[in-house]
Amino acid sequence: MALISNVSAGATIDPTWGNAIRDQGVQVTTSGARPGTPAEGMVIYETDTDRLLVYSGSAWIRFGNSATGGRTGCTIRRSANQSIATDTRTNFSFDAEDADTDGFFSPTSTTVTIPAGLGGLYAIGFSASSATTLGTTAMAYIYCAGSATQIVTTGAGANDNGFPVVSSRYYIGCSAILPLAAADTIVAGYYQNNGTSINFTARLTVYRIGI
Amino acid sequence: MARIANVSAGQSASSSWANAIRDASVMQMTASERASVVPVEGQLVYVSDEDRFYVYNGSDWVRVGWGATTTGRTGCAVKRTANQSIATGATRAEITFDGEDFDSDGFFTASSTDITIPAGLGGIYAVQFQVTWASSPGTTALTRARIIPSGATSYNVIDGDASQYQVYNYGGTNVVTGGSGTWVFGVGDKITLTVAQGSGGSINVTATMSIYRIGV
Repeated sequence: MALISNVSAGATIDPTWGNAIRDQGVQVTTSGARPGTPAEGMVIYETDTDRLLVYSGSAWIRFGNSATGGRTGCTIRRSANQSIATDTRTNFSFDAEDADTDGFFSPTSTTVTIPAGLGGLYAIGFSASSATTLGTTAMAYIYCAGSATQIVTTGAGANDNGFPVVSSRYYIGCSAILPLAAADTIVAGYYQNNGTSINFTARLTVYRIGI
Repeated sequence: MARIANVSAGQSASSSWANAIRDASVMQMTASERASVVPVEGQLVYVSDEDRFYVYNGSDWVRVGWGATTTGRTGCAVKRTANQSIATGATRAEITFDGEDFDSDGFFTASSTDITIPAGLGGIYAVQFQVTWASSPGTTALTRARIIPSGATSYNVIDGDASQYQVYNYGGTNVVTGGSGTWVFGVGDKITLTVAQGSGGSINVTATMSIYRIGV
């Protein structure tokens, strides 16, 4: 990256300053027109992706976004009822996606996979609900595998008695911030033991919040 | 935004560089100065009286990063300081928060059960909540954040401590339950803190909850 040395009062403008000034600012471009020979530390803003990126010396790294479309991650759902048998830990098979920036998911599947180049620190949220009571040892979980096995669980399944939004449904959910590497996988599921199968819907969000 | 093309050796400086220099660096300004700027898409500025970076996305100035100081955070920390009585049984109770320690943008107005995401501030948030019980809430206690999308007829939850195995007495008669997590909020979404307990009698509680934006 070209830099301007300390300048004395009265110094003549040097034409080479042009490159230095070019390199020190945030250049506005598009994803298809990134600088061909970037210097390490160069920052660009892509108008078509609404993202800020910095050049690490070997790759362009996303480090900020100015609109929801510039996020990195996915929001997926199980919209049709999925039957989960009693006393059987079961991964949700997600059948819809509301957002997916980079091919994290392809319905219908149980698994979200971190794409190449997009390892980082991720915020994961998972919530499921049923119209049937959950039993006494209901549990929701997020399970990440690959570079490291990471399990997040909660055991709070219960009816939200008395609330006006949906008083007849039973909710359970958990979330986490986890470091994930490219090709790591994420599944989310449920365990219940009320003695019979229960139909559930669910929602899973996986968004990168840091490198 | 004015830009300088690649410069050849020996090329004379152009008078148009003045505009390029003006636009090239991250400009520092106050919030009132920013309001008077005619921005171009991709322009990044640092607002010194807010301790925040903003980028213009073509239609709005959007906060990026976490802020340069704690005052630059986006979010709120609310609390229930006066005892709130929670009845025993399966019926959930919502905590009515009666104060706040921080609120960057009017997320909360005391006294209320709800934190509401203000206009322009949807995003990815870190959530933390804690309830202090005056006595043990029993084996069916539950501490839960409920996230109610704007205008929705269903909601989502982040569950915290849920049973006697996850309830901790930290040395006194009080027992603390809590949880944390993240969620993607839209403008107008609400978050509340709900509890239940099965001690057989009413229990007084105090509580805190905070939400902070960690991404757009």
